[in-house]
Amino acid sequence: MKFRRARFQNFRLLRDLELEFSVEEAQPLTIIRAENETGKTTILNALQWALFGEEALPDRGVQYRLHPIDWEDSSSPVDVSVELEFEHSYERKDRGGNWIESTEIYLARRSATESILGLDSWSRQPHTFELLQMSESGYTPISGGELLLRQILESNVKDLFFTDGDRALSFITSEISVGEKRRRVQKAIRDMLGFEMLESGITHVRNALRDIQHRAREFGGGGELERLFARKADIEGKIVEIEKRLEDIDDQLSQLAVDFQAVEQKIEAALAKGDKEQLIRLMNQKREERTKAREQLEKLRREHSSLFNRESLALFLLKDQVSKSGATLDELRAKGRIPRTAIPVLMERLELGICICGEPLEPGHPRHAHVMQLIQDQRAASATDDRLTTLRLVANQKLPGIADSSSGWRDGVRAVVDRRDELETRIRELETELKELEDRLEKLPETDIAFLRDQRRNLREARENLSREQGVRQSELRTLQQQRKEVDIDLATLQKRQGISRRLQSRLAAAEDILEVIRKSYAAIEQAEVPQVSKVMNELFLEMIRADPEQNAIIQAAEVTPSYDIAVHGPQTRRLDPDRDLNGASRRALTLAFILALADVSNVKAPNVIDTPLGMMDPLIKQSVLETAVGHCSQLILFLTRSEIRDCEEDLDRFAGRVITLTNSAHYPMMLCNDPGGSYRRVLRCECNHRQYCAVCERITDADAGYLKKRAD
Amino acid sequence: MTYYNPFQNLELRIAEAYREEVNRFCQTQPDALTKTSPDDSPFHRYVDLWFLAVCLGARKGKRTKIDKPHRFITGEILVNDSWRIELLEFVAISLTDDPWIIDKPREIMDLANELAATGLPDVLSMLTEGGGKPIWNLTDQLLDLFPPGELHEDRSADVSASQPGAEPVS
Repeated sequence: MKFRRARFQNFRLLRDLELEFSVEEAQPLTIIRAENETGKTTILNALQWALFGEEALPDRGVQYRLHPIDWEDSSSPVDVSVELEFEHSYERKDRGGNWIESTEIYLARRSATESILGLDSWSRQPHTFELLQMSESGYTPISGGELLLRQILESNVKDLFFTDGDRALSFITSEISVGEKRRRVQKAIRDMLGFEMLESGITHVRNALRDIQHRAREFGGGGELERLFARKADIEGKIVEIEKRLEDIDDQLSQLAVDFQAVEQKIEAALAKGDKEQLIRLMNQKREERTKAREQLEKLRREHSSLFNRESLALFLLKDQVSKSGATLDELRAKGRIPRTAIPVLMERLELGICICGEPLEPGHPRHAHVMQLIQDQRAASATDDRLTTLRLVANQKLPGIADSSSGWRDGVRAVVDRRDELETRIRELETELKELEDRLEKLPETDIAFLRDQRRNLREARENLSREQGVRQSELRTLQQQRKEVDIDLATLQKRQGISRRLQSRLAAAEDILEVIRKSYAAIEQAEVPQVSKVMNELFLEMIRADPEQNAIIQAAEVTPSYDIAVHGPQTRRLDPDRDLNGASRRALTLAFILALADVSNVKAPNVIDTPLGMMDPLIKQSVLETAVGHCSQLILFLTRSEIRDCEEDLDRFAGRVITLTNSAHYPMMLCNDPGGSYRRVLRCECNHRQYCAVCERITDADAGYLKKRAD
Repeated sequence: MTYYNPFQNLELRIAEAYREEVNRFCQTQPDALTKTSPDDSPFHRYVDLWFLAVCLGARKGKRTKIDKPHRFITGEILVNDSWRIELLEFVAISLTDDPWIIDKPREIMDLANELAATGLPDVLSMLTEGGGKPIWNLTDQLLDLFPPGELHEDRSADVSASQPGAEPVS
């Protein structure tokens, strides 16, 4: 469950206030900056009233006035209402065992009418509750909405999810007895385990029965009839008013539908001309393609250039010269001038000592000296002969292939040229396409699609808001019609109520049976869950106060004992009294750790709304408490004063998806700089974040505070 | 492994008068401030242009004396393309009718430089004539030296095929 927005009307100081909450997963924190006496506790009470009814109000709503204390017109009844829009995620497993999540949006609306009877006296009509579900066609009321809401809330955990920083200390305060503390801790754990819901259900049934009996007794007197007539007239007046407003809403919705259609058509027309973003995307694609083609072309240019260094080209150009040289060398070969093979023959003759002609070749003989000279000359010329022989071979090897290699060169050129032509054509095409795209982009009207889409989004939002109001008004109308019906019924109604009473008693009996079964389950479940709560609480607490037991920190551990004491241990497992031996910051951290541990163990995913959690904490502890809390909540809504915000602005920058500032108009002129106007007290809202102030919220110390800056209007 | 390079320490030359123009058509231009495109400078190195000039000069069979030579590199560079060494020797043998000239590398290099001096104006005109970028002009004109083919026909329409010594290869 996550809160999306809340609207308060005439709920004490909250005359007309709307709050939106961050539902971002990355930034689950909503900060409501508000100084003391600015309605923080009232907002907590109002939200709890919307979700849980009278039971959630201080003293269960008895003698708890809902309307503003300075209500100016005491002659007419005051309509009080709180609307809370929230989303809830349902999970299911598909056939493959994978979790599928779907999210629904609901609007819970609780309203009551109070009549001012005198300075200190007033009366309240029974409140009405309705739960509406958002669908494509608007907000549709759900029958049995309160029951569904109870299911969604899973358990009666209001004390834990709506936490007053001071009141949270009640788990460890010394102002109450040990027994009472244990009872509170035990109750908190049981609430989170879901037992409280059943118990409160039974209580609710009993109360309902008592209420019906009481109401039955109330009928009978003439004065009562007179009051009923007046009440009926009042209801009918309101019905007329609401019906008129509903007609207006119908008209506005019709107009919005027309406007919406028109914008849709404009978007379609603009899209037909070309979507600007799409055009830019396309242009980028084309540019990328052009870059790649240019790179390929550059490679091809180098390849083209290398063709002029090829041997095949040179061979073709010099084929006549090579051919002629080859013939010359062949001739040498034919004449036996190359390769010269006389040396081995002459050597052999010298060894035999007889010349080929038969004459002797003895050493010392002039013929022997002549043959020796011949061998020496032959050896000197052999390097040249070798080269000529090589050249001859080369010529004979290459000449037959010249035709092939030259056509090979030509084919190589053709291939490069073809590829270059192809690429250059493509580049030219791309240039043309880019030019056309640029022209189209230039010709696009200024009212671009992004603007039209914004317009469409605004219209959709307006339609949603109107649909929401329509749902609420219809709900009010149904309530009033129901009330009129109730006023119209007479003794027959009483008989009917008696019938209802009997049915309720039957249900009560059934609930008592269920309760008996559940009680027997308590012990077993608690035995398993309490140590787990204790373990998580200890981890979170030590993290928040930055205590490392291995570094000899004074605080070594915290635990929830089997007897439901929240205990803290120092060195050598000495037990510390949380209320006396811990400073204020650690006490708050301990109770917050307990609450977060309960949420963690129970796996209940609901918003944590915490009032002034960072009081009395030094900057480092504030930061770690904040980080730990954000890390363990699916949605965290904090009411913080300026002094609590101080020194953890950067953490808030990181975690806060929404920041709203509230101001009490009654603080002028003592604490506020500017006159908010108006003759009655009320809570004002502005959009300043935790680093800003403006004409609405500026306090007399803000301008001197270096960490705050005036927000531009 | 040692390579055969009789021209190792001999100079490759062009006429100083052509130096600037040759420079323009080579990618590895000394002192170039910007990288030139192969389309504008089709030859990677001086030696590549020089060798094409030698080929064209050899086809004409005419030596041209160089009055003021620019010595742009030594024959050491030829070791990377040993086929060029072979072709220079073939050219020398064919033009002198003396196979033993290969024992005289200096004479072969003098012959090559003078043949290059003959062929260089042709190379330069091939690069500049044709109305296209130098790489296309050169490609088209070289293709004109080849026997008619598909590409040749395509690209020869407006280019003269009157290079001296151009003979079809059978």
